[in-house]
Amino acid sequence: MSPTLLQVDGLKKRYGALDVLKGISFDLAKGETLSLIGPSGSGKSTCLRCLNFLERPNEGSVLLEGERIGQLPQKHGGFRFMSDRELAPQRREIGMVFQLFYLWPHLNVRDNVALGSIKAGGLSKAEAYELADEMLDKVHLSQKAGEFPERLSGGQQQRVAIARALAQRPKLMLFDEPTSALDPELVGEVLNVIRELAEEGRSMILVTHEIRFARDVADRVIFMDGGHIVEQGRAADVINRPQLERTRNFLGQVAAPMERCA
Amino acid sequence: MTPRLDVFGGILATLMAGAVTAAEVAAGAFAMALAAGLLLAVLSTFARSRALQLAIAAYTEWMRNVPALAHLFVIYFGLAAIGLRLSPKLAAILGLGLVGAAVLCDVFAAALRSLHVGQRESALSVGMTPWQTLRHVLLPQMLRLAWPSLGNYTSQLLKDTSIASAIAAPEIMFFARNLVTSTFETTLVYVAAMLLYALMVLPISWGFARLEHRMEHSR
Amino acid sequence: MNTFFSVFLQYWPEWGPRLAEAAKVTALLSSAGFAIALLLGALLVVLLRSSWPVLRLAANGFIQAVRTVPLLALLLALYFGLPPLGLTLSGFWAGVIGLGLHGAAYVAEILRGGLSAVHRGQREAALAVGLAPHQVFVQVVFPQALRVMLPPLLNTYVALLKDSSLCALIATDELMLTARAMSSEFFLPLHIFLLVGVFYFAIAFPLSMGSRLLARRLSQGRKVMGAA
Repeated sequence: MSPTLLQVDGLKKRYGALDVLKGISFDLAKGETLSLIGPSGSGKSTCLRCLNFLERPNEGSVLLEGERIGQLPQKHGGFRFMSDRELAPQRREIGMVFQLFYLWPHLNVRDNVALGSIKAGGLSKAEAYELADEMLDKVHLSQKAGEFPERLSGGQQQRVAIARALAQRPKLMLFDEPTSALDPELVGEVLNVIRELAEEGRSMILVTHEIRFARDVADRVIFMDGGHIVEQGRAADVINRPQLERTRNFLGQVAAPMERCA
Repeated sequence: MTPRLDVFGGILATLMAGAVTAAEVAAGAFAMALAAGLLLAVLSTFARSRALQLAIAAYTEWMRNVPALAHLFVIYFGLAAIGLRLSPKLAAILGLGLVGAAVLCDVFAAALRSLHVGQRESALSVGMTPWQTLRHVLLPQMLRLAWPSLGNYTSQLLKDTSIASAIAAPEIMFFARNLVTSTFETTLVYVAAMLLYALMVLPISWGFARLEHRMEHSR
Repeated sequence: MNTFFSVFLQYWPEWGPRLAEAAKVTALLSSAGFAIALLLGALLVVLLRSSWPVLRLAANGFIQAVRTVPLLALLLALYFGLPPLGLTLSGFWAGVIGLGLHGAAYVAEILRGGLSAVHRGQREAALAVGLAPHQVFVQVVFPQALRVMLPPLLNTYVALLKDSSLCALIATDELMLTARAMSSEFFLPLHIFLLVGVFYFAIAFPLSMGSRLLARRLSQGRKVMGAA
């Protein structure tokens, strides 16, 4: 039984009058790959962004290896939110890959991957570049190290973004719809890299619309809808044999195309 | 023809001293405008205090809707009346610097705000502090965006130093007017003056354009 | 602090009307200069798009020359430099012409930018429908170009308004000169120059804000551009 890496308890998030997260709780074991699936607006991305506190939950807690993320205890009880500066060390433990990659256009690929290690990781320039080269090799982009992001395809940029996150040597990797903004023919190269990371035994949470990929690569799947967790379980179970009507309806909308290309 | 050329040469030589002053005033005002403008832009974009944002907006609106000449008069004549006597050069640097800070604040803030919020988020999620994010990710991109406007501002600043002649700063127009009254060579004097301005402004514009080209094509 | 503001209250009956009168001259000066800048700027754009290289060169040369020299130098040259050559202009007219020439260079750039912002497809579609070239311009191209040009043109007017203060240095009886005269009379330069600043602000600020709001409104209106 793998130790628990992440404990999410009772996350709630409200934007004005809109409740986006209505009490999300789940655990992640070390080495486990978890996939969050669900329709748009279900709160999957918001939930992910609450894990490294890019969004501040209104209620609830996030514990990484027992340590409380993003909140500091107050003297008179209760917690206050950390500032971005206070959060920096904790965020370093969590690697995040965004839908729109957000590579830094004024730096070349190598510098994009190395910058975090130099400025926030305490590595020397030499060490950082060595690590960067290693990570770029892992995502099969060593030959593009000197290029600038605008010269790369979307799939290549996303792989660089993955390398950048891996260079943090994080305990947890988060993927926020990593292939949703890519042209169809570029999706495969990114999914392959993610698959390799999962097979390595990394702890990962993957928000994705690629249901077939989730079924094949994830250990567990959580289906979210309307801010709630509707159904969760082993990936193959939830996707092949959904228990609840809502889950079946959602998967039914994507099942037909799936069967066609399965 | 030669005596006219001699006279023209003599006029140019006299005006040169003015060109030096103009360059000094421009350099001083530029440094001030750059530093203050950058600070105000960052504060205005990232400070959470609404009062601070409003104060900065009030400052930039005041400086930009009132003529520079008025600002110079306030600083040179106005402050002198309450005991703070500044030299014309210093008053000019201060006046043009304060106006420039307002102009550049608007330029830099607009550039900063146009950056995608994802640039900041990806930097924070890599573990960088807000200050590191600003210094290594946001400001470099902002500067590239703002570069053409910065070039325009600098050229304009060099020309605006001529206003300092109104508070008796020893720059080009000041010397020019004196020369006109003493030599009556009105046409030659003004041609010489305009030539000197051109000689100062054109290299600056060209330099900025050159660097802009380099930035685009270093990728 | 009280004494600082009480000075304004005390002298307002004398200062206010004088500055208000001078403000009228400033407005007249700026508006006349702007009118010339518009006409001359439009002419420059026509020359820039002409098929004769000589005309294009002349127009470009003029714009470059005007943009390289300070406005003050231009004003001084017009006021002091013309009389020896036989033409004497009053401060007001030297100012109007100087502001007009200076402004024309910027107006030309704005007009050119506005026209080129209108997609070529618009012109082609209009011709295809059977409109004559001048109709294409008046009915289709110009209205669209106007949306793009209006905010920067407003900004140019505001700039001209501020630049009109330089005409004080060529003996034009506008706001700044009046302020200087008053400052010598009353020996209260700080108060008077701050007050004249308020007068300029009162005229310029609404126009600047208007230009900004207009720009925002106009960019919201356009949803679909011509085919890429």
